[in-house]
Amino acid sequence: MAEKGRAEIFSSPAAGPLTARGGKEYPDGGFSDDRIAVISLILVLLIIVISIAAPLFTPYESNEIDLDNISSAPSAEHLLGTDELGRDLFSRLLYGGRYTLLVAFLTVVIAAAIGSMMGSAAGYFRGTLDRVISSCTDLFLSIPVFLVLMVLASLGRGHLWIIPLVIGGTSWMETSRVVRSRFIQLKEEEFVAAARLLGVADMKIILKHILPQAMIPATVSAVAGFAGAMLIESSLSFLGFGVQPPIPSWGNMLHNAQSMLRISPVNAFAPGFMIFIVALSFNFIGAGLKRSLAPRSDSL
Amino acid sequence: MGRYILKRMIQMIPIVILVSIVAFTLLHLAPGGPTGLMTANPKVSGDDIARIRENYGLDRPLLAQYFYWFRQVFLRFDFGRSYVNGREVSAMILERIPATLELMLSAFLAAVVIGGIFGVVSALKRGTVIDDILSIISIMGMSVPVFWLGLMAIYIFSLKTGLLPSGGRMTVGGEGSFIDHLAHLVLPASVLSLTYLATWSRYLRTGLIDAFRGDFILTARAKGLNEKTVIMKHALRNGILPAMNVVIMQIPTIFTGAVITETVFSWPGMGRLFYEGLQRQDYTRVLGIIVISSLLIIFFNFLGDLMNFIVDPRIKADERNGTDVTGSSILTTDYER
Repeated sequence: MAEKGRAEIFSSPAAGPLTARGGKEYPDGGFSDDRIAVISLILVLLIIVISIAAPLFTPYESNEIDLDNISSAPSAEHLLGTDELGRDLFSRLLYGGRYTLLVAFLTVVIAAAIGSMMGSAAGYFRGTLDRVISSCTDLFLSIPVFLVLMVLASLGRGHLWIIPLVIGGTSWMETSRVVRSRFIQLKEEEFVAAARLLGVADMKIILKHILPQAMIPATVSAVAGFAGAMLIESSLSFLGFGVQPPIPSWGNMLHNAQSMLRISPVNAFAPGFMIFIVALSFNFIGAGLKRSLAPRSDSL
Repeated sequence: MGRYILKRMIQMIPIVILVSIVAFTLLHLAPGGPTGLMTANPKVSGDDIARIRENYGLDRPLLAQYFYWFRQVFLRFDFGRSYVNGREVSAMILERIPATLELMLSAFLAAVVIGGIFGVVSALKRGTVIDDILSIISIMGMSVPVFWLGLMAIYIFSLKTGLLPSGGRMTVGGEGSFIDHLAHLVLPASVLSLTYLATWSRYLRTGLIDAFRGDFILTARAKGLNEKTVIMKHALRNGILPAMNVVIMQIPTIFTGAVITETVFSWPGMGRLFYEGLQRQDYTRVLGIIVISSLLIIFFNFLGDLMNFIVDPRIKADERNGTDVTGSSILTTDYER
């Protein structure tokens, strides 16, 4: 199945679709032809590897304090300078990457899990269950999600795991929608009817026969959701409700940066720039994946 | 039409009830419940707390409390008093409305105009360098953390060049002239509108391109209508719908403000009122703002559906479920909306 998924994602249709005017729309079709997406993917992988291997690249611990260098400018000793407590910015940036990326990854996994569960139940059983799940979606579309997230994160302050849980718990709707429509479509296929006739239990049909085929769109929506998850976590952490110090995250490193803007602008620049670059890369990767899977739709 | 409105209004009732349950649960999840902050204050005696609990009806069973709270908040719009300063929450909110509207309306209008131009130009020039540049700008707008953009704007335009003030709504101690107000508004409104127009222009572009592909466009062209009529009358009307939906769904934020932007630029709007309330654990204030915000969202969702119905009566009330008419998703990533 995994092989098939890869083949589907990276296959490139011979020619792009045509516009109403008759011109060719895309010079490219497959993911590997999308230069920006490929560069983004390489960049993201590089950042992930460097963050995981942070101790190899950093001369300092993430919370090591150098009292002789407080809010210092970039120097030979401290590559990007230090923050207001004398901690090495470059080291914190790499360690911060670990937590920021980890939290975003967990968020996306949780959202994908809930979304797949909701979507497959709604799409397979339809009827009342579908209606209950759709009013669940309506509920999330009817509350100011970010404000509620702020409240939940502030109530669970100090627990790192609460952040992916609450963000993931409020951002599964897109995956659910995608999985649901795939289920509705696949349920009518002959292999499902055959499995039913053989008396295969519903649960097994869902998990073994249909879900694997819905995993590709679900994965694409998860990849595309990574940037969003990271931006939400960073915003929460910037406001002081997300990842709590002394654990560094790119968002919370900016929490005190505003008051220090005049003295050490690099402290405000670097973490935000990392968030920006990674979010941008994930958006390009997501767009590239969507385009290569469904070349007719070029929505982001 | 009348039946549709009635049906949609009935559908709103369970949603309002669900929202109220969420809000009520949040209130009671707060450490120590609704009187948490007072219990933590050594100057407040046990008797006082008992009296306060009685006043707020907190000594009654949970279900009775819920019904009382629902009547007060949802039917009378009485959000109670702030735990921090004892003022009426509704008065505190009303006070922030002018500043909120000032910031949000200017950001909104700028985003509608610029995002509209971006979307239309991208769609008409699709596949060209112009489309690529506009697309990259809007993807960048979607990827940039608002608070960081704000910080960089303050650094460049305020600290380095001194062109614009770094925060607040007017110069402290100044008379608050129009120019002074405007100068304070430019940075926060620009930062905020960029995040809006990034998404909106994408929806507009996608909607228009989908509309260009529609059979009715082919028909219109086949009838020999000139290109301008085809675009203006046929494509625009249909293609604009998804973007319109997204814009309408964000109208509530005009009243409820933008937490992050207001915090970065010390703008005295609702978003900041919320942020400060949460920091001080002023839960009546926090919940008041969430409830108002939810009611506005529910109302504007309704308006959006109504608009879809008027433009395209084939849509049935229960068909929308997170999907707009063209089938693209309306679940945008909201981190500053």
